[in-house]
Amino acid sequence: MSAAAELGQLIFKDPSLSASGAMSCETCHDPRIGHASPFTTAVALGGPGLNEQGLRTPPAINYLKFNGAFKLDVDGAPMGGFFWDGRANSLAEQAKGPFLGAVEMANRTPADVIAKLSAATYADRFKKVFGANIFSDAETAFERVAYALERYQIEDKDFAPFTSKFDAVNQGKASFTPEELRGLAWFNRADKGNCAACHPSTKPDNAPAALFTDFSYDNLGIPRNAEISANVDANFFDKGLCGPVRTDVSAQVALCGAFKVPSLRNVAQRQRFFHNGKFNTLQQAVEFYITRDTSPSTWYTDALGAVVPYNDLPLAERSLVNVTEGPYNRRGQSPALDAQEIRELIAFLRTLSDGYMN
Amino acid sequence: MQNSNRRQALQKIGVVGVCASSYMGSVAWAGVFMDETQAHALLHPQAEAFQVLQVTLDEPTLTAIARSSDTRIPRGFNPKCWRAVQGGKTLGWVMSDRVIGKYDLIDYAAGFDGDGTTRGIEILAYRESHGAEVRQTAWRKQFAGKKGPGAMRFADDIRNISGATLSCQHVTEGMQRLGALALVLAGGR
Amino acid sequence: MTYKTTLVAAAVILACQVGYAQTAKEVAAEMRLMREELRQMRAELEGLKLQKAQTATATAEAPAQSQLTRDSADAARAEPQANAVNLFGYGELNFTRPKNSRADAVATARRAVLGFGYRFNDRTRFAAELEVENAVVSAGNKGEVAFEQLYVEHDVAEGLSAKMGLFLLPIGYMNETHEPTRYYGVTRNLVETAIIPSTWREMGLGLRGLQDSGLRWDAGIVTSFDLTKWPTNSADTQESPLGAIHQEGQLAKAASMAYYGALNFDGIAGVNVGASVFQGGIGQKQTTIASPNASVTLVEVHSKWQVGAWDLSALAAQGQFHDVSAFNASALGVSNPVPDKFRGWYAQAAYRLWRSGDYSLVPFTRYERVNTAMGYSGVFPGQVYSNAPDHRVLTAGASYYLHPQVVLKMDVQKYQNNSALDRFNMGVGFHY
Repeated sequence: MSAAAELGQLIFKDPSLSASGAMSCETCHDPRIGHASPFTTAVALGGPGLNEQGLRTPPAINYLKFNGAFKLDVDGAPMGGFFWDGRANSLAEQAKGPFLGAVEMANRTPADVIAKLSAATYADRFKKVFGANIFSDAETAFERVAYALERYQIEDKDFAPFTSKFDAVNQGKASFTPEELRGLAWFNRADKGNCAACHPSTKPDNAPAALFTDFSYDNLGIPRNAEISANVDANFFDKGLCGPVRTDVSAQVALCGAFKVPSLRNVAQRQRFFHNGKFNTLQQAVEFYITRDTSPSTWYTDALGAVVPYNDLPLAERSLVNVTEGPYNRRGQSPALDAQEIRELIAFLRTLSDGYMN
Repeated sequence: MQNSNRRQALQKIGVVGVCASSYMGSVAWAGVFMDETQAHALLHPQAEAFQVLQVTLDEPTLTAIARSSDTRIPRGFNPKCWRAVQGGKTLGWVMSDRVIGKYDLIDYAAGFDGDGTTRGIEILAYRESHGAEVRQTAWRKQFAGKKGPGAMRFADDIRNISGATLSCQHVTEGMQRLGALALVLAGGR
Repeated sequence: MTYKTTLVAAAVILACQVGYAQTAKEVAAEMRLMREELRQMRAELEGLKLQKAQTATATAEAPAQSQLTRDSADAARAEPQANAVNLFGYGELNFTRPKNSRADAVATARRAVLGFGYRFNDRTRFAAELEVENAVVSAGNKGEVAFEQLYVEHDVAEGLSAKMGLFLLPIGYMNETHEPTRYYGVTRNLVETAIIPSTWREMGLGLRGLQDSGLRWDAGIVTSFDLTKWPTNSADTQESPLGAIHQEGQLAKAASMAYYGALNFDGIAGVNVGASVFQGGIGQKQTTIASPNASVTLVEVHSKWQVGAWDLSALAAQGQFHDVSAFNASALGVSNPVPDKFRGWYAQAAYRLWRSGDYSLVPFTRYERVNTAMGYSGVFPGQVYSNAPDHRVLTAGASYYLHPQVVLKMDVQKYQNNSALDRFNMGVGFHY
């Protein structure tokens, strides 16, 4: 790896760069599970006392080097961008965010970060690589910190291992069990799971194998998660692309409620699913897709017993939820997959976990 | 006095006019650089007169020309021939012909001595974008003194100019055919 | 008249009338006969007229008989191409097999150019060249269709012509003369693809002067490159820096223009030497980039010597980007910043081993050295970017001509410091 990437690795694992002194990037992005959140709670706890809730589940950050800047394509569909709402346009830009997040690493300014960095064990190394005077300008030094983290994520193979059973099968080194094969069929078939519509199982031009995301966005109408303290306020809604964290495209009301499509690689290793960590098993996550509209009471029954579909969006914007793409286009019909098929689909999803090959 | 002044003045204006018009585009050279008469004078300066020569290009003659020049006779091959005479004596011949350059026609004239040796070649008209280097003296000079098609092989005896290769090649092949014809005429004097 | 006379006249008339009436039939018959005669005479007259005309043409032809060669020749070639569109072009198809990676062998219909030209009058003509690369162009295929040239040329004065439109720049050898039968090796040499981005065409006005002494000069004002097209984090820029930002007359930004000049000397048969320079703004005054005033300069020299059966040539080219450090600094650590300099050179020797009629065999060898990125400004210490490798390539092979315009080629290429790129090539090329 380049010198910058090696520094990035050190920075990634360095908890001293946070206000609490105990939170590094690795704290919320665990290398053992595809750099996903190891927290069993819906959201991570950060801030100076490591006791403040975040708003969204820390996403898994593997395979993001194949992602690009945020843009609206010719049809107006949003693509690319980093974070759940795509507000950063590069890995470097995204890397700056958590350092300064009040409920994350809680540095108030870049100067805070650099002050801590210049006291780190690798500070001299940082100066050697980026220039002896680098610490004299905190803004520039902070840019270099972000750059180093970007290079680390691009160059370290642990961020894009492609060592899952799926990869082994593609390379002819293993074969799927019959159950996994059927699961793959439900994954691809438009009339069954239709997962491949947003999580393609085919290799794109810029990567050596399928990434299981097209880096687009979707509005799934995920049920409101009462675990998140921000949601105590009934008038607060996390609407993803159109706010409240991201503000530059909030005028485009059609985008409200849409969040980034994550890669399904290593999905079976995750503790929490979707942007608000509503579900904590893969079984639940898949069942939600299948029976969201065929059995809304399963998902949207509140404490008083009322069923309010798409309750994590304001009333006026609930019509924006995607009800036209399968498998969640089955309102009033039978579900696209039965219990056995769901089991098989999950068996296939388990083959997407890296570490099967060396 | 007045008249001659006016005449001189008119001559001056005429000269200026010609220069101006040649700058703005007179017809004389535009794509066509010289006519056959001018070419005759250049190729056989000693000759007093040029007599049109009837040349019957029958099958045997054409086959002989094709074989000795090792080229294919193009369609419409029908060079004009003149006998260059001085004081009743035949000095040699002048022929005019046309070949395709890259895609358009090149008109040229070749002069030969009584024994069929090439005297020179003049480009009468060049109409294409590329390849006009065949007009340059250095390239055309290569033909002087060569006798017969075997002495005018393209890329061997006659050098190419990069960027004008097709024109050089086709004009050379044309010259080979005319050179073969000149030998026929020389033999049958 | 008196009454009497009138009566006598009337009687006579009456008598005549009667008399006429009595011979009316005869007169009618006579009239009929006269009409017949008149008809016959008219027909004869027409016939005579026709004969006269025929003899006239016959006599007109008779003197022409004595100048048979002249008239028939003229008839044969009475300006046949004056109003025809002329077609020309070339095609080349290649097969490349990397020595160490059979899985990457590729066969492709590399290029076909359909050229057409038309002469408006003796001084004005146009030419166009439409190129199709890699056979198929569609949403999922990687071929390309492009107009390589589309220009009008006008002969301004003796030995001076002007081109206006989209045309190839007279820089190097390959750019203007790249038919597969005109260069050695299956693929075009690296210097004239990576450093000089053949086929390099721009839009504008170009003047060419051709002197009898063998001197040829070119000068012109044309469109230039567009730095905003520099692709971030792409390997294309190391393949050819100028090739990555060329505009090719495709909605080209024309805020900054370029000028070029070239000199060539062909005054000695078999020898050519020349040089050229190109200088143009590439920032195109765009406010979206940090270097709106960036520019590039390219200079090259070339020489060729054909003697006996030998064909020896050499060429060197160097390009320099100016005022790009702000652009690089603003690019936040891209892995492919804009370099300061790029350059290359080659030396080539070919020898016509054997010729028989249209057939000939020409083995050749070429050594070339190319570096597409030498030095960077505006990058920060610690920035990760790949320095361009110093490609040193030795190519050896042969061209077998079935006809001067049809060639079969084969060659082997050895990359001196990167043997992963070693390859074997075969190709077919022709031009018409």
